[in-house]
Amino acid sequence: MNNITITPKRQKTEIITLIICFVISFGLNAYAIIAYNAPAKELITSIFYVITFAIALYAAWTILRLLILPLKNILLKSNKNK
Amino acid sequence: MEYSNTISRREFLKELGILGAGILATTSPWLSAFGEISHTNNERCRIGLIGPGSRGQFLLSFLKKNPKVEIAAFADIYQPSLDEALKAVPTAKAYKDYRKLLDDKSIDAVVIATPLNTHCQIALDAFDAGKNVFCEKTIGYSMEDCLKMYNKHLETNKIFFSGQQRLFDPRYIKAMAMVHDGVFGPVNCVHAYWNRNGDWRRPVPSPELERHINWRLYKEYSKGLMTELACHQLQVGTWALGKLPQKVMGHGAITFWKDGREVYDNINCIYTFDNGEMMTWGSDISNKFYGLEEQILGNLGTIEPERGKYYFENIDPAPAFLQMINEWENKLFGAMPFAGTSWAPETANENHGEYILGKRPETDGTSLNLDAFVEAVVTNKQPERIAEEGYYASLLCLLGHEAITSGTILDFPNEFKIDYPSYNTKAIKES
Repeated sequence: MNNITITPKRQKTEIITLIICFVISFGLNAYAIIAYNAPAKELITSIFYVITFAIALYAAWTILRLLILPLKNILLKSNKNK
Repeated sequence: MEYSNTISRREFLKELGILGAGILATTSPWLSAFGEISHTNNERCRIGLIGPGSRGQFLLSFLKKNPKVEIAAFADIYQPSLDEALKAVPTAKAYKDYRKLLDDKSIDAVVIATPLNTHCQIALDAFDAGKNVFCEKTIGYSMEDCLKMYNKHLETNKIFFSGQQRLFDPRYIKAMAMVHDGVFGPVNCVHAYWNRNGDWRRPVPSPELERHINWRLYKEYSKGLMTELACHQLQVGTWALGKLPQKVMGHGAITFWKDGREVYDNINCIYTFDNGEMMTWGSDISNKFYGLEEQILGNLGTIEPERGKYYFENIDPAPAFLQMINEWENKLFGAMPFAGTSWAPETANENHGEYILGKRPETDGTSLNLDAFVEAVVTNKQPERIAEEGYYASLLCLLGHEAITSGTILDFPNEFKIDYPSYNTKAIKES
């Protein structure tokens, strides 16, 4: 079985991506609280929804990146061949 | 003997939680039956059970556990029922004729669980024989029978209870205290229903016993769903509204179980009150999806005591984050021609309500109803309103049945009105 090596750079990228997703999600919750005149305590009480949304966002972004990666590789190869 | 009467009473009072004695005295005055329970530990009550069939044996299972009760005798015309009862209490005497049981001077009280058409004569004979009477509901086959029984109770000054177990069910007691305290606003409507999916028949060992065993299905013995099921629930409506209806209308038919029965299998009745309030009662025994419930509707909330829950009209909105997501969904799917706006889910929180007692219901009040009867017998004190509640519950069923069979809107007949003081409560005053 081949070992898959996740480089420190990749780890850092993924953690930063996840943090960005969480920040976006948290910001959306803050916006929603203002927009719907909800109590500020929902910043805490809705944290489960915020985390869930952040994970969903991260997953969506990952799927998008996995779809883009082969295209990127093809483009790079064709550029090299030229 | 293993018994938990004191514990169950303690649990009972605990379940009623923060309700004060004043509120209970107003909303459920019959609970005064338990007022002297700790002083009567050495008292004994000798009971004769007339009609130890299925319901009778159910009652027997509770009576047997009460250390203040001695089951002295059984009476039934059906030997297998007597044999079953004697298996449970071998020391009891058994009679084919209930009058022999009534001749036994040592018996203090009788529990009547026979077919409906026999209640009246047995109860009258029992009162005349000096016995205290617990009679299963509906108490009488006709309104005249009910009045005769009630008047005989007054005349002989003997204890008279009916098997309206909801009067002793902690869920109902607490719910009614909340209703009468105005927590749910004025009650304008009560919807009660009892749906089943079954033919309501019992197995019959030989054809000649069909009418005796399946007596609920034949007019000669019973008035069917109205007298066997409605009596449980109509009393809840008058308890909640704190008054009696003025008019009754209804419709009934045999729509599904066309098997030779003579009583309806599909019924709906409307009872209307002086201020326009309504109580409906319906039963269809070809579909059990909605089961049974009494929905008590106030402008501030709803109670479903059978489920043991209440629900307020105004509930907190969903968290802002979910509202926002939901709005996005509405915009996205609402704009799609294949989906349409009706596809978009609602944003409101589902209203799961609260448990009346803070937990799932555990008892239906039957054991406490019987305990209260025993206490009333040993203290020789008739609790307030208990006979009247049973009387009127029965009358409402019979009146509903009469409205159905006559196809007319009936006024509550003045000649059958007895003293029934209205509940002097906040919600009723406000309405």
